[in-house]
Parts: sequence; structure tokens; C-alpha cells
Amino acid sequence: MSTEKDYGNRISSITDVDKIIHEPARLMIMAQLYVLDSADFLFLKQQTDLTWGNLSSHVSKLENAGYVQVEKEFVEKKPHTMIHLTEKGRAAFNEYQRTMKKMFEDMPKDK
Amino acid sequence: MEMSGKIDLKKIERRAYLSYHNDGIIDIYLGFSAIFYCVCILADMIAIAGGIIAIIPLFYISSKKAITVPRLGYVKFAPERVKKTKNIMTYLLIAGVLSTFLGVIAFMNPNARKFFIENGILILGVSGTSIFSLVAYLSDIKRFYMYGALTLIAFLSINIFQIALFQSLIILGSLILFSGIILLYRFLQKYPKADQGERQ
Repeated sequence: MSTEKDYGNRISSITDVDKIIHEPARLMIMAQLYVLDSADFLFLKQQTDLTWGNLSSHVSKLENAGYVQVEKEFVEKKPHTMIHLTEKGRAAFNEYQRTMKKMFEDMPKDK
Repeated sequence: MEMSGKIDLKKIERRAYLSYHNDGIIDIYLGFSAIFYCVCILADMIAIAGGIIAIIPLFYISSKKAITVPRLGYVKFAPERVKKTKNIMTYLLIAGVLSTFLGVIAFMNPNARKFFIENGILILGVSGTSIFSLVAYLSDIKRFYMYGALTLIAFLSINIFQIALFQSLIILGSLILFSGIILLYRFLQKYPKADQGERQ
């Protein structure tokens, strides 16, 4: 029997969604970094089709949340800015996937 | 990426990996190697062919750094993908060692030599096809299946159309080279070179 409690749980799973990751552009960035070891801004730009400004702004938000780490490293003796997912970011992305899956599972089926 | 709650991470990873290998550089070097090898055989300079083909991986790496990285960006793939690439190298090395071993046996044993002389073309064709298919399977670069099929056709054509091995290899090399040039052209159109400042 569907109760108010079930409905409450469904609403609760929607509000549990991590808003930082849920934004489509940031979700794309997180998904890219989840499957890669690390990438530079250019690679992420080419894969996500974001503008430089958008990419930079979203990476900053993810960095402030502690989900990604932006590091300068030397490649072929040239400075290079690489971005990689932190452990916190990886855990948050896993949790985001679980929450979304649960949310869609809990939704009533289309008749 | 699908926003219906399903994010296909494998697809995202594959797309990122393939974008790095859709520049046609490997195809150009493969095609060039096949043609160059044939030209050297014809000119009786087989030692030079071996030497040049041995240093082609260095040219390949330099080309990737000069063409692909400034346009597509720098990426380090996940350990699973790196492992897959190492596996391809290992299998190719095993195939090389095995071929050498079989070659030595063929020279030492008259029966084996006779078998290799009679079926050499077919063995080479099947080996080339198998190598291309294995690389395609392990790397997800599907066009290598097509190169495998072309290799088989090229070697079968030798007996069917009575053409020389070098002619068949030159046609095969030219097709792979042409495919590589088209891929490189498309890559250069799709990814213009980014500013050094933007990249950093």
C-alpha cells in the first residue's frame, strides 16, 4: 500500500541529490574525471564542449567543494595545469549515482 | 551523457580514448611502413627498411606531441586503460617472438620449410588479420577490424589475381595511408590548435 511515508521518502531522495554535481555541466566534468586519471583544461573543454569561461567557473566550484584538485605539473619541462578527482569527489559521485538510481527506481512506472 | 538517470561511464571513457586515437597518425605510419617496406625490398635495401621501421615508434610519439596534444589537450587515462594498452604491446611482442621462432624452425626443418613456402602467403595474411583484429578488440579502435579484413583480401588476392606480394602490400599500405590522411584532415578541422595561454 502506497503511504504518505513512501511519498515522503521519494521527496527526501530528490532533496538528497548533491546540487553541486547535479548541474549538467559539472556532472559532465565529474563524469569525465571519474573515468580518467587526470586531464588538462583543454582536454576537458574538447570533451564537454563548454566554453573556457564556463569550464573555469564550474571547475572552481568543484574545487571549492573539494571534489576536484587543480595542480600545476611539469610535462616535457613545461608547466601544465592538470585536474583530477579527489577521493571526496569520487565518493560524492558514487553517492550521486546511488541517489539518482534510487530516485528513478522509486518513481511510479509510466502507464 | 543521458540525463534520464543513466550515465554511461564506459561510453564516456571510450569516447575520450577514441578521440585521442582518431587523429589518423597511427594509420599514416602503418600505411607508410608497408609502402616503405615494399620499396626497400624492391630496391634490395631490406636492412634500411628494418632500421627505419624500428624507429617509427619514436616518430609516432613525436607526432602525437606535436599534433594531437596541442589540439586535444593532455590526458592521463585510468589504470585499467593503461593496462589494456600494455596488454596490446605484450601480445604484439609475443607475436613477434613467436614469428621469429617459427621462422627459425622453418629454416632448420625441411618439411616445415616446404610447408611455409607453400602456405606462406596465407599464413602471413591470417597473421596480419589476427593482429589487426586483436588490436581492434583490445583498443576499441574499430577501424582496425577493417584493416584486418583488407589485409586478408590483399593476401588472398595474391593467389586469386596472380599479383606480386609487394604490389598487394603497396595497395594495402596506400589504403591505410589514405584512410589516415582523411582522419588527420578531419581531426585538424575539428580541433584547431589552441593558444598556449588557454591551455595552461
